[in-house]
Amino acid sequence: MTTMEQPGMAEQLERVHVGQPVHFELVEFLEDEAHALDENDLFGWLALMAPDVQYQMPVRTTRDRIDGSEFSGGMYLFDEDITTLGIKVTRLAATQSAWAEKPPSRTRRFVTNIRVFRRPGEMEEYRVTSSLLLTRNRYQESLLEFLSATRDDMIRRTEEGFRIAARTIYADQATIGTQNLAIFL
Amino acid sequence: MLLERGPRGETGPVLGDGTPVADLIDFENYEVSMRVLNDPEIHRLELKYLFGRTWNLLGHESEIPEPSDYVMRYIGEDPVIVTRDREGEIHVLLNVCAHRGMMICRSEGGKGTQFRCPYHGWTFSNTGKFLGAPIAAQQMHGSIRSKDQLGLVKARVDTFLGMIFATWDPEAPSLGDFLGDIKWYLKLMFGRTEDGIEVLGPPQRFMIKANWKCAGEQHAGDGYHNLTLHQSLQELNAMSGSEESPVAMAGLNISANGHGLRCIDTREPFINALKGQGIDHDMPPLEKLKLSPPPGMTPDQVPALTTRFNADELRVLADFAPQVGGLFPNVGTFAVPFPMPDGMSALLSLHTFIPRGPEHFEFFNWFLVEKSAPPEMRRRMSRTSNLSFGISGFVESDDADTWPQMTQAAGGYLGSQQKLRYQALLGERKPDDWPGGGHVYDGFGKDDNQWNWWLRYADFMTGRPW
Repeated sequence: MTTMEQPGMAEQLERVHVGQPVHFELVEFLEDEAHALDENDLFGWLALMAPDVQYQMPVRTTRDRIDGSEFSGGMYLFDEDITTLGIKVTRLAATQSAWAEKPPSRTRRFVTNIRVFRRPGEMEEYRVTSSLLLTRNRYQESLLEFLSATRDDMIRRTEEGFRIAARTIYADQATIGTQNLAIFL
Repeated sequence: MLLERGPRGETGPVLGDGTPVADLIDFENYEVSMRVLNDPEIHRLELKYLFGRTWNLLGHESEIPEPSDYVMRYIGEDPVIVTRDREGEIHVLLNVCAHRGMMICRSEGGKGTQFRCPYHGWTFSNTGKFLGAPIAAQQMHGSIRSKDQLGLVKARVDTFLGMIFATWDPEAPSLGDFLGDIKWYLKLMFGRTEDGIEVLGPPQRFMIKANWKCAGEQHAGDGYHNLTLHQSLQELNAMSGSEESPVAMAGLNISANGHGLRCIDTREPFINALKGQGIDHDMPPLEKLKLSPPPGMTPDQVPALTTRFNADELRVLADFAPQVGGLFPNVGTFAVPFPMPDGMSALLSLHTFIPRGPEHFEFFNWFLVEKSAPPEMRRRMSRTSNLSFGISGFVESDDADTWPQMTQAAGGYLGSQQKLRYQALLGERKPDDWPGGGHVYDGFGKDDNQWNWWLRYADFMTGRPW
């Protein structure tokens, strides 16, 4: 089990405060990213990933504090690199039989509590944590499904713009309430 | 096991509208009433007649490797604590306080030799023994019941290849007899090395708005759905085949005591697992296995297979490896070679489908690796597993969108009267030189396995499981 590292604690990171231009830029980037997913532009979303991206969602279990982190360091709900993300996106967006999202879910991502930290090093990289509330609706169901999570991202500035180099999704549910994760967080 | 016998005479319990449970299955016409997929009364009966008696898979020994480790799991809808005591023995305890019924353990896992109920503080050992209640001088457990009578309810426990099973039924046969002929095949999937396999971590858990039996019967041997529901496997070239010889259908279905699995014929030239491996089909099995090791094994682990398997077993492992299946009633089993863009990979997985009322079940999904797997192989198998199986896997995310609609359909007035049909029967066809036991159906995978699953279900639901 690994513990969830808190930005500015595990690493000595410099806070990028609200109001600084980079903070605004990263907020805009995350909003555009959420928009791409909400609009089902999956290839557009995939293009925002760095080639070395690590995209993970560790399994969470309910535990007493004395037993350490609730998050597994070995078992995941997503454990992806650019190749597997590419396969999943291709299947959903370009095959005729991805029934899990055919017809597609209606999803909406609310991204808030965005905190930005500058990482040291030659590349311009930021550690960005955010809260995500994702609603999902399928078929004629009247009720929305909810997923809420903290996201801990590594975002890199490249010549083409920002790219996500790493994302770890820490869900609030130990038992996920939606039948599959044929959607991205 | 009753599955082996002929027509059934027992009616079993009778539902509120006068329908005997036995009438839900039409033994002459190989049909099952859709009512079974969405009926609160049948659900309550299953908790008693089925989950209350069968051997239930709860997890894997590698989840509780050390003394005082525990995890919380479910037998039917009953929460249980799976513990390992000081001597290393495993216990399964009903997670219900002997005092006022509070759940004494609220974590899903951890370490502890004792469990103290948060309500009044009654304390139990990890072997289920009642140790005491606060204010001993007042003897708050009274004088009618002795302390020995106030322990936690305990299930019978046994393991097979590290898989932990429990049953509430004192009359149940041994786990070995319950599994029967399927054991031989399970060893080829999960018992290939001296060290054995281990979980990558705690299971994925997610809720599906469907009756658990949709998943239970499918895993008994439904290879047919691969062709349509999992067509994207072929679109993505993860599973290749042709109209006449679709890959998932080349092989043999095995059925034993309601358990089932499919042995895929890996000699077929279009099988991805062997493509480009330079395999000549006249090679001895061990040579083939060195070129294309069993899923999750490295080539250097292959020679030691001869210490665990005889020539017949090695031949099946090389040419007809059991890959996908299920254990009656609610378990999925997988040892699957899986092509990735950078070469072959693999996944090992166990699923359980835990009922949560008639219209929901909880999906538990474990991914496993050989204990001796090198770190890079673990990472790769984790990626492969999450790509294809479990909550975000592109194969099983399609299944999860199907079962809810079957369940919903079964809730309608007419829908509940419709039939699930199992009339495409291959009939028993066992090759003369087939070394494994059980009912063997050599050829295009049809409904035989799943029909046997329903026969086993009928045995339990009419009160004659043993």
